[in-house]
Amino acid sequence: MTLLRYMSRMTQYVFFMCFLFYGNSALKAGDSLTITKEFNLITSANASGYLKPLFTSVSESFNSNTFTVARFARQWRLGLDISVCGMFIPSSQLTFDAELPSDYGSTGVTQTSELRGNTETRNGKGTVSQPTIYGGISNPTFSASQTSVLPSDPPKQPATVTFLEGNNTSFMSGVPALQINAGFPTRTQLRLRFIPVPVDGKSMSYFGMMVSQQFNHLVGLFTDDSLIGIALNAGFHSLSRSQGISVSSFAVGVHGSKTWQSGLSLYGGLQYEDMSGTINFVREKNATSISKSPFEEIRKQADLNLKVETFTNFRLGAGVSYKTGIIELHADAALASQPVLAFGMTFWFMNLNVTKPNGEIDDSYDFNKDKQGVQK
Amino acid sequence: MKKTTIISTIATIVTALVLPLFISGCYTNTVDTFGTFTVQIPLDFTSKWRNKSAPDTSLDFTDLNNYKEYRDNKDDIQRTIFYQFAYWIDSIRVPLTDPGVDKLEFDFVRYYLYFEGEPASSKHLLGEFKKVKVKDYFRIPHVIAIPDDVGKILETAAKTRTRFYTVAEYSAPTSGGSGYFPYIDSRFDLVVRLELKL
Repeated sequence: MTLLRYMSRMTQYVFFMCFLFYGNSALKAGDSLTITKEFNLITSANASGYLKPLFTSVSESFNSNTFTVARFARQWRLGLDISVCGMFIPSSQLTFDAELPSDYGSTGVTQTSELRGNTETRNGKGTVSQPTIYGGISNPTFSASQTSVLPSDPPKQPATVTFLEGNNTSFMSGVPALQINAGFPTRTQLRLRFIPVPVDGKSMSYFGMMVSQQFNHLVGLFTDDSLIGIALNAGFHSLSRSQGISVSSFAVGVHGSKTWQSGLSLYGGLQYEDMSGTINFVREKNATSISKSPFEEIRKQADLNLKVETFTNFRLGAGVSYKTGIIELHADAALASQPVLAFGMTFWFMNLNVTKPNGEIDDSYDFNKDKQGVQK
Repeated sequence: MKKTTIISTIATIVTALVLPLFISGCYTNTVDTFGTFTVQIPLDFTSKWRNKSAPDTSLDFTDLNNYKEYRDNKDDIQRTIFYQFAYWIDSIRVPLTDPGVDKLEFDFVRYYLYFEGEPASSKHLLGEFKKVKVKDYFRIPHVIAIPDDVGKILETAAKTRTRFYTVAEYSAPTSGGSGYFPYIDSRFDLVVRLELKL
């Protein structure tokens, strides 16, 4: 129970961290998600770019540990799987093109300067490279307004702009998965995940459903080898809260496996996946300092609307599985925009054979009848 | 059969021991990595030089607590790192008998900082702008990264002190003239990095 409790706590932490700007401490009670002052330095567009690699990590962890071997016994089966994964962050995802205030670059309105190393750049406009949440130190752009009129509440606009910094992350732990595995006599495997997390007084729920259907026997592939399987897999994940969070992810793919009598299996697959949605925050209204921001969105205290996007669409992976008794251990690696390592174990605590009308066990599709040590 | 049993037993034991440790290690690292978060805030100053003759200095005082971003996060701040600053002249007047603003040049303009309670002589040099042609600095920011050694001193001091003075020192003008200026308003934007504990 300690491990389960620990994973539950970690799951909660990762969810909070990923979607709610580091968790409950940054939130205020209320129906809407409210972003507090320390994160009030960012616009919606920049927040989306800043967090895009993190959303990618979350999406990849949703769509990891969704299949192992592709050869399923013709049985009713029930199991519990505990899996973890981690992503390596490529250097290309350490920066993003951050938008500058709209007046920047209009030299009649303001003159700007930015220092990187020993190079000073003036009057940049449009976008500027800044760190994502996995990156390093950001660079401010200093702005000298050209107006002669002093405002009652200085500084003159558009003022100097700063950006959020990254956390120098090269490896990111994914969301742990605690999932129910169910097998059906149709050579179908279903995995279900459900986690309710109380966020800001309301429950946020994560629901995931992954299904794999073995099909090679239907099309006459490897019919003479009962230890090879090919299956189609699809998955859907939903993360939602009645107000503020609406995110979904899906994946489709094909995977295959070869099992040996020792219980060892090799498997691999190709998957297409994506995640999209929105996360909406209300800005804290009583922060007088926000009027100093050169971004109109922040000065006007407009809602922060995060568009959820990811870098990953395709992943190609391979892994190994070992089944002994009721335990199946599995580990795999995948090439994706963030390369993934994943492993876990499944406890198969129920196997029910299918019976014919005359009471005999229908094992006509059960390769375990001939071979031992596979998914029985 | 016996071999399989041994392998199974070893695998089960290894898994039972290693998996939680591995999970614990990975997630501990993740939690540690995201345990702090750094934001940058700009502090804006306007140094007001009034009826002085260069070379001379102007002195300005500030309290970090006057900045809401700082005040709101004060309890969570682990480090205050002085990062970069920019200087520009926002407004200037020269006597009619002196060379015009477009010809005005200072040998240097230096910015210093020292905390309240410290002697003025202990001021730390934040940066120096050399050969300052006023026309090149008129509402055009010039940026300097605060030297690491100075940054470390200021970071240490900022742990206990939030009130400090900034000193703008102007050399005598190399462009000639009386050196007298009815006023010089210069802008000084200082960006500090606040490392917050989450």
